[in-house]
Amino acid sequence: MKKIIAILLLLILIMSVLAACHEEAEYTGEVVFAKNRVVSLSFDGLGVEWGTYEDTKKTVKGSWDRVLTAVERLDPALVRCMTNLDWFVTDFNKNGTPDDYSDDTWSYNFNNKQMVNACDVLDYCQAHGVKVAFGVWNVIGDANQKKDEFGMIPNATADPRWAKMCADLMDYLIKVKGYTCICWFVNTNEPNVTGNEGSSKNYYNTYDKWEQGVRNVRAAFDSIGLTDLDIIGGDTTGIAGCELYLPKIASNLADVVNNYGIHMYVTQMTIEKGTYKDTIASLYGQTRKKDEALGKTKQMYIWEAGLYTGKNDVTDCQALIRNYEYGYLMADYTVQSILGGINGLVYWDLDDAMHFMYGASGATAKEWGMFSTLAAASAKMQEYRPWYHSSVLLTNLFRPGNVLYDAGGLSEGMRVLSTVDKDRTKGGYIVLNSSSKAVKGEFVLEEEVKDSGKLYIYVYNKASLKLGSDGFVVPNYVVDGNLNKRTEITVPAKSFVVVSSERL
Amino acid sequence: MKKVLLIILALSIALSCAVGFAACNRNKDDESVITIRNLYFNDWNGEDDYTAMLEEMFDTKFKVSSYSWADWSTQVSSSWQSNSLPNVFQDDIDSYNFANTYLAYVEDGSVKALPDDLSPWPNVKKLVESVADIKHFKVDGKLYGIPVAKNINGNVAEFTPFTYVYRRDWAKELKEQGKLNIEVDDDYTWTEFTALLKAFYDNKCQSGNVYALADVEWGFPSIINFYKDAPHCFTYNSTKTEVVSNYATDNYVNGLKQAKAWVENGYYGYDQFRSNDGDANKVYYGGRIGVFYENLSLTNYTTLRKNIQETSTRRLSKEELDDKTAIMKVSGPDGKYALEGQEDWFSMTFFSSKISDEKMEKILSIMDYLLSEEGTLFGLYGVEGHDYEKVEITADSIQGDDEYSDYNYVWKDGVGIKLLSWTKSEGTNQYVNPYNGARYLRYMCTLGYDIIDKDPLTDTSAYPILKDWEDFMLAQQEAGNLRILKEPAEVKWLSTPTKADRAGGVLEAANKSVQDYLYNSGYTLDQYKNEVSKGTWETMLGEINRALGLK
Repeated sequence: MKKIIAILLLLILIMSVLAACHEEAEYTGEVVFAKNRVVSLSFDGLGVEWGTYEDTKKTVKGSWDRVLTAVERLDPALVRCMTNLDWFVTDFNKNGTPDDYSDDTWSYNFNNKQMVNACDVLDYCQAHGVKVAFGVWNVIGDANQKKDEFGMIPNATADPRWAKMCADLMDYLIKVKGYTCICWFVNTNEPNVTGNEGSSKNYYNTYDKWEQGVRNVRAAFDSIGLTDLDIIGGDTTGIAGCELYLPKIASNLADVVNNYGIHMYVTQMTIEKGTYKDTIASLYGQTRKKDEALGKTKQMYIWEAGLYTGKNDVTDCQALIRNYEYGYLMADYTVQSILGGINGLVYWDLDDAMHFMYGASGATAKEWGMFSTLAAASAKMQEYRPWYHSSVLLTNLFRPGNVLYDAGGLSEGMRVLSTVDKDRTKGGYIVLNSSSKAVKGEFVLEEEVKDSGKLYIYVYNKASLKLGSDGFVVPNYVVDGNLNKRTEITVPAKSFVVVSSERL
Repeated sequence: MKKVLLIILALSIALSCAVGFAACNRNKDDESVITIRNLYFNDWNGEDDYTAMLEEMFDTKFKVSSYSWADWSTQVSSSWQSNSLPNVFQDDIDSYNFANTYLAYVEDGSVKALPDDLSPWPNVKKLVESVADIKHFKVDGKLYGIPVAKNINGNVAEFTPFTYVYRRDWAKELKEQGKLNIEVDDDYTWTEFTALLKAFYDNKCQSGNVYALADVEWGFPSIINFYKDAPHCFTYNSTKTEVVSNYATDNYVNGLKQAKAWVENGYYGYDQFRSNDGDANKVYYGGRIGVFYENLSLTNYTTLRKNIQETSTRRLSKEELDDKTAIMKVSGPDGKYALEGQEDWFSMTFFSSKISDEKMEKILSIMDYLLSEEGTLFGLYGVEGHDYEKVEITADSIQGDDEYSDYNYVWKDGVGIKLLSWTKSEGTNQYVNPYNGARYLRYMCTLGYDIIDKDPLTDTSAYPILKDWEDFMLAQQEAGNLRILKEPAEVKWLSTPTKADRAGGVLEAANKSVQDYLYNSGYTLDQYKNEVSKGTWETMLGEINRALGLK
């Protein structure tokens, strides 16, 4: 009798486990990426902030090879790389005083470690055809004017010396060093964040001064023949900042700027609700109303993409980067951005070891990366994080020049985006499910793709992400199939699935 | 010709009117937007869904900005002087600038009085009425700001957490080596405290860049707290018949002599004279101070622990971190613990006089909602059903933070809170900030001390340590073993011409005299006493005593 009861109990237990494992998926029906649902014909790809390493002494010895391996696998189409003029400008007031704007006899040290570090990044980009936005964080000097010896803080980027310095820097990089991969110049980071007097170099950098700075820099670039080097219009952050700057740029600088650049850090809730897409679409639409070239000869990029939720403002670290959710949310962020009109997107950022906060406590790393090469970081912190793997899937699937399509008839919380290359020989799609239940559907592309006949299917969530022996993402399944044939896909809750005709 | 002139004249008038009208519109406050600047908004930009929900609820838009701690007063003053105050702003109103800021705002018409009848906003009314010294803020019967309550239920400890954090690991190590013969239990008599400093000095500080004792810059020399009668400028004489300079009393001078002895014998080895704000804190978490006096608010204490963790060459265990940031309880030579007193509020929220009555009423309604139970839940946890759910607590319910728990927090008797959408960082195992605007906007009226233990963002490793310390001090207070240094309210909030104008400067000068006496061998005690009791002091004390009918 005891034996029977024990068997019965065991059976009940097994059935309970099976029931728990087999989550009933909600059937969403057929999802067609129709030919007439083109999202973008001017998509320039995805990328990552790969900034100038400020102090490579803080990194693990020999870690550069690891960085290069990670970047090669990520294969970014875009890179944003920022630097500081303070590192290069020397003898600033050799022959003049801080308010002597005509004194341009300062010198540069382009042989120091920071320039070597910047060139290491640019060497890769030049060799791999990566388009780069290169910029300068801010004007030189001390934000506290009492301690400042340069005198550039009050006029900020409108100071004529700023334009000369930027032109000299870009002349060195593009004409002397040959980095033609640099397509854009960033005329200071997030100019709309003026910060506090005495602690922010941007405090006096009003829109008018910033605009004057852009005009001065444009003229300085033109005068040395850098006519193809574009200047990013804005590089502003947040909805309010972008709504303030972009219409003015579109009205006043349409003849100077070809790339409307924004930074967006948004909350988890905004992403999950799907309202982020509408916000971006509204910003894009408002800008296009003032500059009809947007979407035709001009683009709007997100040059810093990240989540606000999880950000620690004191340390400028992101607490969620080791969570699987971050990868899922950033994938959703990417899809919503593109659906909202964005033509290119750059994740913030690659490696914890690139940027530091310099406060009373000394230099502390800004932990936002896809991994860390910091020597002080634990082994766990140095690993490729989940969102590195999710980003690898996205950057490799959504390539520049591809045509992107969306689809209708989706269940609540589902977002999709498909992509086909110019030659119609490869493509794929992503299906995101932000709901708390699994969803199932039959997916098909209408645009004919003469693909390999195999489909590589990747499932992203904590339970399913599959890594190969080399530590990089590998498909969960490889099946015979074709993007033009209906394929049934089940997407677990809070997960995404990527289907590609190529191994990513 | 006349006709042409007339037309030109008419056009000129029309143009002037148009320009004037435009200028007028520029100065006019936009009714649809509420501009708010607050010290606690520094990591929030107002662009979250919770804020959007509040905006929809109250049919408004928030435009928010923050002050920095370092330049707060300057920033408020600057926008006040340039006539560009936001609709709602926060300023520090403390004992020595009360008169020349609050009253100045009132007198020049920069701030708008609260409605006489606050009954339409019962939660705001309750908050204002629960502030102990609120009557001192009324000018002609009107109140011009909302004191930001530390705890809306009013039960704030009367003492500040300005106290000593110390290296218990050093003490344990020295004890083990037989170099320290006291019990290492955090609770020290004056003799034990002195023995601890001596042991630290003898065994840890001989390199010259490690120090037995140091104070946060504004708190130096902290050990005078164990001698003096009041925190700042004023106190009564021993017979309570006259207000006198606190700096010149015998008790203060005895403390000063003790401080000088410790500067000279090296216990106070850190150069407090040249230390810039924040430097000593940095030296402490850099591992070079044994005992450190600081404002151990939850935020500061959490930050200190975080900095120690981050500057460590390896990940410290909780026990190791606790040992490097233990909080000390020291009783003075009189056998009593001594702590500075505090108000039950910190800073004040003001309304620009440019806003309409309707807008002020709307802001008060928002505040009232945020102080209500529903608003507090919204600010603390988010949207019910999405971010959290209320659960009934039964005898079988399990409180905890894992999947087996029925609820995370006790909201009130029989009601628990189960978090739903909240995410924990896999790196820190702490909940991450969802950036809920209601949480930030609530800082307009309260710092939320009453909900610290229900807040998912509270650092669960630091809070219990501070709570234990506070409970200990509350028990000492109850037993009559704690001296709380407070300026008498009738003096603190009194405004006289010289006090209003000079009290801040006089306090600063007195603190400088303290430093001169401690660090300048040529500066005599007589010189010191003269500096802290003569001249402006006499004028100011004369006015105060006359106003109080004492002299």
